[in-house]
Amino acid sequence: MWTNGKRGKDELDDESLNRFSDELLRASEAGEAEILTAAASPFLYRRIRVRIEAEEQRLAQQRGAWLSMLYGVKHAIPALLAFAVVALASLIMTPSLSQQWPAAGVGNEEPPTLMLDVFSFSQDEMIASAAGVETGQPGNGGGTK
Amino acid sequence: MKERIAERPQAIIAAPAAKAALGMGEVETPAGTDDEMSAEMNPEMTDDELVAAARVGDESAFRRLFERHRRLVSRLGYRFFSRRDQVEEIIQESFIKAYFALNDYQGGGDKSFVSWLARIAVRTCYDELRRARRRGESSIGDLSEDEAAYLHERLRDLSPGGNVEGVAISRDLANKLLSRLRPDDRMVLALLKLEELSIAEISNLTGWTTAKVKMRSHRAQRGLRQLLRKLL
Repeated sequence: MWTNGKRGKDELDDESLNRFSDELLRASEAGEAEILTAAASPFLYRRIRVRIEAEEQRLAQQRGAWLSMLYGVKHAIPALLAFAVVALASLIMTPSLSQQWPAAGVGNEEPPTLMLDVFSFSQDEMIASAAGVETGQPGNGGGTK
Repeated sequence: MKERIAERPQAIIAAPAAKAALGMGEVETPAGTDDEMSAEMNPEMTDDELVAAARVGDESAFRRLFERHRRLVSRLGYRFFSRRDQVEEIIQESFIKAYFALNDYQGGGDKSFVSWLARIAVRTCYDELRRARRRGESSIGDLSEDEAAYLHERLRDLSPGGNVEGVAISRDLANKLLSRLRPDDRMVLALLKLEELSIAEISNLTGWTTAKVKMRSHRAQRGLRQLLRKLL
């Protein structure tokens, strides 16, 4: 039945097992009637249609979500642009202010006063005020140069 | 990948046996006479005409495609699965995939709808085989004692000149054993031995290179031998 040499035995084994494997494969085949029964299964097409419609609905919802997001983004663009302009303007303004008072808060110098021009009095005005001379405007005449 | 599928010739149905196995004999697609007519009104529309109609929303055209080719998909499904519910699932899944891929189909010439659909069905089977394996369905452990004893006896009786062909193996048992193979190995074996396709044809059908198909074919046969040896 089996040859003595290991190689020969393996070859014979392989040959027999291959034939047995082919038989296994053939045995696994379905009959024509079975194939037809599965193909002609009732409501098979209907189930396919239902699944297709469900999938189409899902895809439409997905597309809808994307579109609504894009719509929202489209409406937000002017607001975002305005915000960007404001941000840019303030960015440009910031260095000019720091240039105006470069040493603000450093050392012994006084901190800058923004309304200095409005409420400060010149020396002439102080003298005129002390002497009771009007500078043209009725009232106390303060606050203008 | 889509382009490669579309470009592939109709090699799969070149061999007469494979042609019969893939249900080509039953596909009668004479040229239609009136493009304006709906698929329901004109039963003689070709597959390509039906695809064109289905693309623009003619539901009856897709239904006709389904009715024409469901046997082909069922036959392919039974190559890899034994239960009817599994095969029905393969039919459903394949036609759903085909429906959503209709715009990718480039018919005409030797690129037939049948070979395009067969490729979709084979890939669907392959995906399902992999899923089933991940779920651990139908392992060798499922063999009953009787089945194991029967196999053991049959395998011990094997002799170089023995009548292996006369061995009666139940389909259930055969499927249990084959399910132990890797999905790709089982696919190659079934297409090679049952569909009697060539390596090139399997390569066309699966999208794998011929070298890969050859390698898997060797591995599958070796794997099956090892599996049977274990039972000795």
